[in-house]
Amino acid sequence: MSGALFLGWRYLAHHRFKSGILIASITLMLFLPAATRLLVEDSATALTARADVTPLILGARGSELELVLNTLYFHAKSPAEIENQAFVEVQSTGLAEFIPIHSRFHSQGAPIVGTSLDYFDFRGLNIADGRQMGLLGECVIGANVAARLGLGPGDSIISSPETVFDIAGVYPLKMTIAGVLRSAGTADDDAVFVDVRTSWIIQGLGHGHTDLAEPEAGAAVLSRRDNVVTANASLTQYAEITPENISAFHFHGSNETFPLTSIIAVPPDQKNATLLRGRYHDNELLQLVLPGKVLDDLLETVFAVQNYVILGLAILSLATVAVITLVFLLSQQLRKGEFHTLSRIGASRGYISMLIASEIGFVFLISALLAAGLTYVTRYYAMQILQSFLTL
Amino acid sequence: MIILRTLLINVVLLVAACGGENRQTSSDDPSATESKNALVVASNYPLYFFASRIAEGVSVAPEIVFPDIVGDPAFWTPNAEQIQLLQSADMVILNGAGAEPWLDLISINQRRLLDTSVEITNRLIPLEGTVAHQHGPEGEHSHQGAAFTTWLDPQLAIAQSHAVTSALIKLAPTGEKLFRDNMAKLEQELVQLDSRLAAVFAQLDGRPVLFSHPVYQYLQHHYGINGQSVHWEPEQEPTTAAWIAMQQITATHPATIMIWEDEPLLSTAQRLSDAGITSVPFHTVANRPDRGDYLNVMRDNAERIESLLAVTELTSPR
Repeated sequence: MSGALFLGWRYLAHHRFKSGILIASITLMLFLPAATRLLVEDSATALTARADVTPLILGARGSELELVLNTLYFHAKSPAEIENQAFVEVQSTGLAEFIPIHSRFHSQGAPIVGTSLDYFDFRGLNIADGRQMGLLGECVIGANVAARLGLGPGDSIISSPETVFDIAGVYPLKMTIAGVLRSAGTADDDAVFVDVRTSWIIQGLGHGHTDLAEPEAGAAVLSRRDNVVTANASLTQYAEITPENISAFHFHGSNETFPLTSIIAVPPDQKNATLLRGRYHDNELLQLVLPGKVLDDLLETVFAVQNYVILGLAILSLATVAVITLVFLLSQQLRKGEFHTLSRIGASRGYISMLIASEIGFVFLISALLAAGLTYVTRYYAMQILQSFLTL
Repeated sequence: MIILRTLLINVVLLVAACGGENRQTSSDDPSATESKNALVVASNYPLYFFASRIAEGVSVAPEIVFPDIVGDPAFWTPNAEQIQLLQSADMVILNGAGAEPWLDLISINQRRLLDTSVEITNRLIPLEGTVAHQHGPEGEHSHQGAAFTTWLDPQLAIAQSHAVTSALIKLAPTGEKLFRDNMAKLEQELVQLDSRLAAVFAQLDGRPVLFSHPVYQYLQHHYGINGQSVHWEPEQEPTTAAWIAMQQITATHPATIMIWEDEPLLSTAQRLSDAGITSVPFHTVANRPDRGDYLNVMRDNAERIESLLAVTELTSPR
């Protein structure tokens, strides 16, 4: 028995090239359908898990999928915006808890998410190091951002200007990192979180400067008449919010006109959810979507495509099995002399059968182990692969 | 084929078993379900006083905290520790009416804020005379709001205390009866204070008064005081321009009393006295007083005004 296994193993080792091709073919034949199915299922589970715990999303009318993906994964470069007025109005209904999201800017490759402290409670995000953001201009960063950039509490991070050539556009804001979030294995690990008003300051809707009513502002004052002071272009605006200059920061205009990219609504029960949905059913500017349903629609398409892919792979696998069978049969034909010699020196038919079976068995065993290893690795990185697709 | 199928099934099952953990969320919640009283932070001393009196002797009442604030709470910028205190509070009771500009500067859970002025919005007095400025394409704008020393009018203080009572009941429903009993006692004391102040200011009988700082709007409005305000600080010597501005006011508003937030500098008081104006402090008690409490300080304020009116000849300034 062990002699047949030894001879089978030595045969494969001796014919490395042939054995390698066989093992590679069978490995791929096993790996591809399994990995495809598991990757899709894992991705679907991850997508729907985040969507399912996000009951409702209110945003600008347009692509539902864009709205959901940007709210859940903060991926859009120029997301559609709604006015903060919508937040004020929906909040006044008292039908749910509402969380504003303003996700338009980036910092060193990470999306800056302007929101409220409710977001952290809602997502179950805890501070691993440092503390929660306090003053405007402070931020908390996701675990992956901290690891990637080597940043921690007390360090600073600068928002990216939207366009290099737009001198009247968005200026960078230097933000102090108050804390680092504990890894949650979600898109939150890759984001920089600020108060929604900080993101409005990044957008230029609020700023800080010397008090123009004070004498120190002298050179920056163009004119004073009655109770109106007009500043000239030399008025320097602060690029960083510090405890010393924070009281000089203010917003221009009504904050009800300021932008949000979406609002997460967390109704206490189905009745309130239904009432809320009814309010926005016919709204021409806003839409209230069920993220789970939107992603289910997407996943239906993905699963349909997946089934075609797996069908194709199954047909390919059948062809591979046929070719491998042929290879083994031809190999037996070519090795007739070898088997005859074994028979002449006393090997039984069972022994020879065991030898052939061990060769086939070793090939399949090694292939199966390799396919399992590859599938495990693929599955381990499934979330990263999914994230990279979503943030494209 | 049988071997192949068996192997395939086993491998898939093996992988599914190995990689099946859910990495989506971390649900470990560090906040243990410890049973303890709620935490309420008051944004100024009068609110702290009202809340403390309403919660007095109620075992289930929230812990009422007033942060250590240097100076006027309306100009407070919380430091990191104070922000953490505010963020950890189950409720932050606010005066409203623009008395908490720091709210625009910090991240705080909006659902835990209680604006005690919501029910008295129509009785708030808008501020006047703020400086507008213009830079960039946005046009002119100014930073203005309402007068916020609402607690100087005991009737408004009662309305705010009712809002505090409702909030405490919401946080500790089992203490409702005791909260309401305490509120009734507090209301009685505030009504008495109101009567006392009304009687004191009635003695002015429409004669003109100066306020050293524009913080007495509610006092003036509620008691019908014929007052005008300058913008002086008790611990600073007024500038020449400030004296001239005051003289311009007294030319048409011949006040003989100036009501101050605190004792003015001796030199200032003397110069005013030379001009026929007697200085008298009326503490706004926005921050924790060195001695006594809100009611003591307000009663002392009333007594000082009354004593002054008893001895001062209310004549026009020289």
